[in-house]
Amino acid sequence: MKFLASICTFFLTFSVFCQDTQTISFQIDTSFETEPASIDVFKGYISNIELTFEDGSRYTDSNGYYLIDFLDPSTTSIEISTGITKNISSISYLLGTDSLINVSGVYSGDLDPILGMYWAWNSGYINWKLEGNFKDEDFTYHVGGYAYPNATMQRISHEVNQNATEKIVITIELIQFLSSIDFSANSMIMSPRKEAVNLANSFVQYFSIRE
Amino acid sequence: MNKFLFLSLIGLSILLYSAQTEIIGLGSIRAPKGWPEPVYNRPVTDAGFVLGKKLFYDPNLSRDGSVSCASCHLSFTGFTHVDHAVSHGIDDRIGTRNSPVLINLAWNSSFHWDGGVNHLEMQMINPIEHPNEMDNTMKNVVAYLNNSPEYRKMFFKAFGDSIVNMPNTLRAFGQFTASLISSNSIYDQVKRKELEFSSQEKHGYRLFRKNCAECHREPLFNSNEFASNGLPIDTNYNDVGRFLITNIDSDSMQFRIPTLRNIEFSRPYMHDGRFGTLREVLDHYTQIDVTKSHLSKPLKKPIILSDNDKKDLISFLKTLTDKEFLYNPRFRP
Repeated sequence: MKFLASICTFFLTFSVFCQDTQTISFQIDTSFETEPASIDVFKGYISNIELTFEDGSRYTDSNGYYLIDFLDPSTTSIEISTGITKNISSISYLLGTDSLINVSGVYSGDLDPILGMYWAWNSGYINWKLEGNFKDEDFTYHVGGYAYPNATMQRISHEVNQNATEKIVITIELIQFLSSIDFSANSMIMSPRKEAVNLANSFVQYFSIRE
Repeated sequence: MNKFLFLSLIGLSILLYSAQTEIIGLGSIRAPKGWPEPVYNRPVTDAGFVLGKKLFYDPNLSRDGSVSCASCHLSFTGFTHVDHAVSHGIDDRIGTRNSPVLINLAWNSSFHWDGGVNHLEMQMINPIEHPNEMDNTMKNVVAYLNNSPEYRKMFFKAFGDSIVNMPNTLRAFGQFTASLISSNSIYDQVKRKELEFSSQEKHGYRLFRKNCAECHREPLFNSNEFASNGLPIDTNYNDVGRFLITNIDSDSMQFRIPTLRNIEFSRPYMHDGRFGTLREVLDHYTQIDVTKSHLSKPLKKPIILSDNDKKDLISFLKTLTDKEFLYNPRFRP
């Protein structure tokens, strides 16, 4: 792994092979100044990104696990060196981490458990965290769990109908998502369980590429 | 010229890489003859083992420098907390479970009495951060280690990086704890035909195979599974075991099926340490109410043992004592 990483850095430095890069960035659809919401924490893993090109060929970013702090614009873009210059027709990715990563011991980088996105007592990554207040209701969601029946990672796919394929912008309609939640039933979710799966299922419907 | 530079840079990076593998090394946990392959498949080196051992015995990993891992996991008793039903950690705060033995962990596919931890490397976060155990944070631990020139040297030797981080700290712990292998008990020597059981031990072994071996499987004398063994819940703790992890009703009151190796010295017994002697344990198993709904399947047929049977069975269980393991100076600070 280390070897591959060092080789890639090496190639990048000399720009011999990694000619093309793809940037994928995430944005929240609204400014909270005008909304009845305050968001304290919104972080999550994006992983297993797969790009499909116009001719049907694919690029899989299989070793990429990106911890995104959606509130910090300096971390909301992911840059992938594909080495491919074709137009992209669709993109898919996991919101969360795959199960293999959850059962294989310790990892470094964005997966380093010191980053606070790991449960020690019930091993596994927290796929995403969302904490704040909406319409005077406090909520804390730490959504994780990798094993059936409480697996919470979600694959999200989008068609990409644009020729400018240098940057893909994915929008998260956070206010609409928060509006859909019954806070009286579930304002705190912090362990792998059915409610977490339901919340994750619902959340991914609010990810889209805006035309 | 440019081409030459390019090639020599490739050469250099390959050289650097191979130097690094030399530091990391390619040793791993090997299965004693007749054992299954270990679950733990990480490289283990002398430098990693020595570092992990130093961490294991270092009380500065706790919030106030008062307790180390070894406080509750003493080498002489199979790395458990002898005579403590449930263990006490920092400020003498007590937990809710009996500290488990650390024996042949490389063959475990999960850890803790409830199996909540799925990899040996990830286990150590729990006692370090638990308020009733060491009550520290991994961030503090990493900062403490980074402040120690001695540790930094040891991390460099073990991982080729003197900047301490959490992954390498956990890896070192993993290497030490995975190396705690007990495979030289009288039982093992009998299996290798170096010794013979006494007639009492032989009878005890037969009784063991008939009544206990379905769950406590040879040669590790455990299984990586969970069972409800009919113990009534202790209302001081209301510990429902594996259910806490899975949220599956049928997992309520299920606990790990632990190894019986070195059981002579690892008292008290059961997940909450409620029994002080092996005799009490056997008395429990012969008195189980087999009509209980949550009881695990192998226990639904009654276990019948006479007084003499129990003595013989205990004499067999004592053949699982491995003095070489318990008194191994390599495992001590």
